[in-house]
Amino acid sequence: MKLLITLALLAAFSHVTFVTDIHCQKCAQKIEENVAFEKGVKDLKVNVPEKTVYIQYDSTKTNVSTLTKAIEKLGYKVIETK
Amino acid sequence: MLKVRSYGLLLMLTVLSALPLAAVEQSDTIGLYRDRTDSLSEALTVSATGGNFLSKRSDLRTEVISASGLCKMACCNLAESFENSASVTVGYSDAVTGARQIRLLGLSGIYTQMLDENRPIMRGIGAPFGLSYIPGQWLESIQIAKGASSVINGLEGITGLINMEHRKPTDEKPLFVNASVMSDTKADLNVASSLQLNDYWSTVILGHASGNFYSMDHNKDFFMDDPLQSMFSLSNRWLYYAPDGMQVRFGVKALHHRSRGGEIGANGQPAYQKSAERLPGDKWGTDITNTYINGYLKVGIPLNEDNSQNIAVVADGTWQRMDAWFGTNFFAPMQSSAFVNLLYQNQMAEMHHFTLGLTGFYDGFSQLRSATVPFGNSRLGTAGAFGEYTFHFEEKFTAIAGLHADWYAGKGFKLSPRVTLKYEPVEGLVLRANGGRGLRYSHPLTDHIGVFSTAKTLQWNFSGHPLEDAWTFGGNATVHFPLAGREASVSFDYFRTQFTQQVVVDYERFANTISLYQLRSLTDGRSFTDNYQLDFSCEPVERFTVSLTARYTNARCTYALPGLSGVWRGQLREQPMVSRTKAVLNLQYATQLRKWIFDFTASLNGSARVYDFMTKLTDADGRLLYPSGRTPVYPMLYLQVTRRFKGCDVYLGGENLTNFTQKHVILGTRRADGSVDTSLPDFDASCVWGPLMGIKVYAGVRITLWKTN
Repeated sequence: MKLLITLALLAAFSHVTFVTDIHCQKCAQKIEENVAFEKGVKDLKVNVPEKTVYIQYDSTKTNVSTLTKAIEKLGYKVIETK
Repeated sequence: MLKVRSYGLLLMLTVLSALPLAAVEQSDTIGLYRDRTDSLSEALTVSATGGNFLSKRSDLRTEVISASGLCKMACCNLAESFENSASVTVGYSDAVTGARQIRLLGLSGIYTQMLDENRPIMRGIGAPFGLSYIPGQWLESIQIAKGASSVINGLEGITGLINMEHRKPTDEKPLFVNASVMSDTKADLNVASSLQLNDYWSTVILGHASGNFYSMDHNKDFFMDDPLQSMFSLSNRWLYYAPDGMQVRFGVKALHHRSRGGEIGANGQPAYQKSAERLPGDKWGTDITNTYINGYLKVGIPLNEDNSQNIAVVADGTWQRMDAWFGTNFFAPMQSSAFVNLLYQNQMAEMHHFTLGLTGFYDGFSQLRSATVPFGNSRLGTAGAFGEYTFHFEEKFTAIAGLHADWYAGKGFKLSPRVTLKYEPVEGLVLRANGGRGLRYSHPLTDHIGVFSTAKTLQWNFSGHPLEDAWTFGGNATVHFPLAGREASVSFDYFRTQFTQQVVVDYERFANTISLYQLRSLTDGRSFTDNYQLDFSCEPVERFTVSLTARYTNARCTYALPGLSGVWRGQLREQPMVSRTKAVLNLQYATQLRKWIFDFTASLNGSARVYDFMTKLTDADGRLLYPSGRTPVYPMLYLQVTRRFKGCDVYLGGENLTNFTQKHVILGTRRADGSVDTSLPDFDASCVWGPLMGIKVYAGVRITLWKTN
């Protein structure tokens, strides 16, 4: 039963990858330490060489627009959303 | 062209900012290179965030303690930051003053060059307490490089380098506050503020206040377990980055520290009163005040458009004073120091670059007239030139050859070569080798500050500051391989340090006497250490990191035969109080998004030979304390739980959870009540090999305010 609930929750999660202008490990740290605590964010991975931010989120609590604003608020440009 | 320009910037950053290459992973590029076409991003790698890791890119075998690693434990100061490292062993100079000491490659920390972003620090009278004067929360990372490193940093690093990277002016953290308290009443407060004033100017202000307000006597030896302390320090660092690529960095630091230890009085306060005369019933203790002021300037100027040629200047000045009472002895040295490094760097082509430089040190020592310890005024200086050539063949092979030619005041001309090789025959396998000569002026009293925490007679057969001379050779093989879908690594290294001239501190030659004498390998005997270390790290499950390290040290020295004076006759013996083995296990598990982090560190510390006179020591029941002539093997456990919120970390931890402590740390003739008679010449509080404090629990908070649009 617990497994089913977990699977159902996972099914409800969406994910998005932002291509940004981050360029170093400190940029990654800034995003990790801030965006990770945005409402609805379930997982986050920052890839510096590819300049991407992958976010898994609960679509009932947040959306791509809100997450884009959270990244831009930190001073980074969101160049593309995948 | 872009690649050459980027490499030129790297060369300059190497000098201005940090340890070669290891620091590239840490370089302060935020703000500096944003929206610039000359971004260093192509040279940056995603470094491990779990704590300690071996740098892949460094030419030397370099262990990096990252910002995350500095948050694994209390890490109140630099000394405590090494608690989870097997490369560096942390101990106490004595059981009274709280002075910490480290060992790298089995040798005292005086043979390790301490650098603050490539500026030599903790020299002379700054060495005994210096490890406690760098708050761990001021630091961004620490790099520990073993062996003979680049000649650019000078020759004082015989066993290696420890370089500290402070929080940067370019950090986008206008406010950082850390407060912590320990169960032994020690409290720490750290504040940092990095401000970017405009595109060119940025600054960071670092503040620290700490104190230990109450001491206890858990082991009932009538001595305070740890000294009462208060410390204040303030630092301000600036960075100017000009549109043409010129960089200027300058800063100041001031520190005041007072420590009072010794026999305990009422309410956890010291019983000792400073006095040059001792009356019957007077208690023994220490009362030490240190004052330190430092200023520095670094300038890097590109000489051509692609920055393949540049010049750099590093200048540093320090004034420090110690007012130290040890019983009736008053030791009050002052030191004024200056350091200058001028460099010219040329990236001739993709494969070749060289550095030429001029360098000089000055250290002036004097002492207050009221002091009772013979010290004398002295002026030490070196002036020299150096050159270093680097050959790169793609990413596979690097060879660095350096030569330092110096004139040492009173000692003459010395020539010191150093060589480093790095080879990656296949992807994932890195082979390194390095070797070279190291030289340093010894500071017989401040290098061994523990000798003051005794009533023994101090004798030496030389004057001034003899030059210590040693060669270190070694190598390292590291294999990086996939394990459970993530990268794991195994690393083995071996280093040997062989002294040709050393000042030896001998507690065993004469009863109740500490002898300091020069050992020359050509005429007197040998002094060497062999050091073997194996490291393994992996991440078997996502966000669960494991690292395991084991070290074996064989440290030997020819000591003058007991009881004999005059003609030098010696015997090669294992160096006392140096543990042969150490193993450290680090485990870290972080939940998704690292909202909870659990850190566990266990270490097993091997035995060390005790001084000969300690083999006869007995406990209250008459049993020998060291029947095998060696210290016991003992474990240490550390645990910390961190809960992270947006902009705020709260942590709770425990140190020395096995509650193991060294018993009978105050040695001497005991009175009827069990206390040691500190007026007799066998009183000795400097024979420390283990932890002095039992279980300690601490809690703290880190608050970070990030810069936003």
